[in-house]
Amino acid sequence: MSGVSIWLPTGSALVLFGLLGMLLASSILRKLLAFNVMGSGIFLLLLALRPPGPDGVADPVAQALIITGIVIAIAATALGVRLARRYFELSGHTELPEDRAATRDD
Amino acid sequence: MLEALTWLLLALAALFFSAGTLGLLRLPDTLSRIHALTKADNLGLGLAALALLLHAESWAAAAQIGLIWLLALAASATSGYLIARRCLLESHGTPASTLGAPPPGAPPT
Amino acid sequence: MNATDLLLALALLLLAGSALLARSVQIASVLFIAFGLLLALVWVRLGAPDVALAEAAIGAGVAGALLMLAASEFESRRIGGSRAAGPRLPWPRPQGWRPRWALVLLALACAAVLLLAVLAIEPLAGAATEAVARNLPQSEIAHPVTAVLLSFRAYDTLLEIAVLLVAVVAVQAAPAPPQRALAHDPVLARVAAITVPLALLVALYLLWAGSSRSGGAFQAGAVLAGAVLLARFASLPLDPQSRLTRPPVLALGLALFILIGLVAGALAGAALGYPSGWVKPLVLAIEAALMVSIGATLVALFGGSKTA
Repeated sequence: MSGVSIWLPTGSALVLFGLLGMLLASSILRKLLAFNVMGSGIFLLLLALRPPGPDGVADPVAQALIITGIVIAIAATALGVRLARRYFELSGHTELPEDRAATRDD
Repeated sequence: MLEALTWLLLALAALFFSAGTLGLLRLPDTLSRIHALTKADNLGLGLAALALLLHAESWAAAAQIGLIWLLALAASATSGYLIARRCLLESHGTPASTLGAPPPGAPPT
Repeated sequence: MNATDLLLALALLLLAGSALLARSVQIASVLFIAFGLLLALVWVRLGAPDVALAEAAIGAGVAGALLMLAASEFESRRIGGSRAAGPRLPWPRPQGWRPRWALVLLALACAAVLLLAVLAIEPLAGAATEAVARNLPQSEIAHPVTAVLLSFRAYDTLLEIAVLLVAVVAVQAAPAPPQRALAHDPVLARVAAITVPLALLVALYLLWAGSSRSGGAFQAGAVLAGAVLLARFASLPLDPQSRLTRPPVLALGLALFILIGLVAGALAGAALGYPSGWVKPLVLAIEAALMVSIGATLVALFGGSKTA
């Protein structure tokens, strides 16, 4: 186990945090934040599985995939934020109905 | 010799950053926190930039490091000013958004 | 496993945890920006400077700013007193229950399976790197990551731009959110008058550098968006935002990409291929159009309808 990169458990832990955040957070914005953390964890796993080559530069295909992933995650987050703001304009709430009911029953 | 100097500068930089963060966490109100943070962080960044300057490969790279430090200085000074202004206005009860008219020639938002 | 990596990993996890557990969403957004910046450092540590640039600009900057904007809006309206003045949403309140402990166990199980799975994978050092290095001279692009993005896997990039366009169309579909008039601040205006042209220069440099070094259209587009937004916040007399977020500018990148992909591809014998000798100018043209479109898209994603 001495050759195991430390970024593998780190990435997995980030995915765990993100998953917990998405499932348990009440506010929509917090869920979006958790979604981004989870995405970052997965990107970290992608690059952790590709150790840098002899010249210290990481795998270019993995890098391209991650850049693409970052841009897509931003697009999804922006849409989510816009929807959250619109929902807030229309209903005055920052949480979805089922989350409001859940926090009350807790 | 160069190594020792670099280590010293970086250690000092870390010290200043820690001091700034300590100020952020322990000082009572926003204005004093901004004061601590901008002063300590800028000096810390300057020391770190100085440490890197010693290892720059060329004069162009050294100039770039200096430019980065200047830009970071300008950015942190401006954002410190903006936060402080907002704080001051809110403590006087004036909502910041109503202060000042848009400059002439700017299209309405 | 050395001490620096260990410290970075621990700090990363600490920041992520703090961001998720922060008491207000605004604090969470700030911590998230810090998390993104530290992650950019980690990318450098893993030998991926291109990803570090993209993460710092887009992942930390744009995402954090979006979240902070929304959080501040929610907070100010709540403090301001009057909540929803509009119609209530018509669907009924569901009577569900969700035991939290079951969700926590589920998440832990998923993460455990994930960790075991990735630990079981043999890290394949170099397979794709060698393939890219072998074919790099044929692509006539000097930088491996740019070659992958715009030549070997150009289709992925094409679809990625299309996804961005779809997102901005969806964001602009709703009526513009009520915008507060921004106060004119002389200090900010003076600083922005110096910084905005400098930022534009940096964006152009990143675009140019992408052909032979780290950089490229995405990072340049993000810096461009930052410059435009700064100009807007500083109430600079030129207001590029309204002209920039019009549909033609947003679609320019995708349109040019498809056009060049088909026309040059017809000449080169494969869709999205480039005829030999024409690679550098064509790729630069595509990246320039992408930079403008991505910049406009990121500005438009900050909220605003077609007319804002």
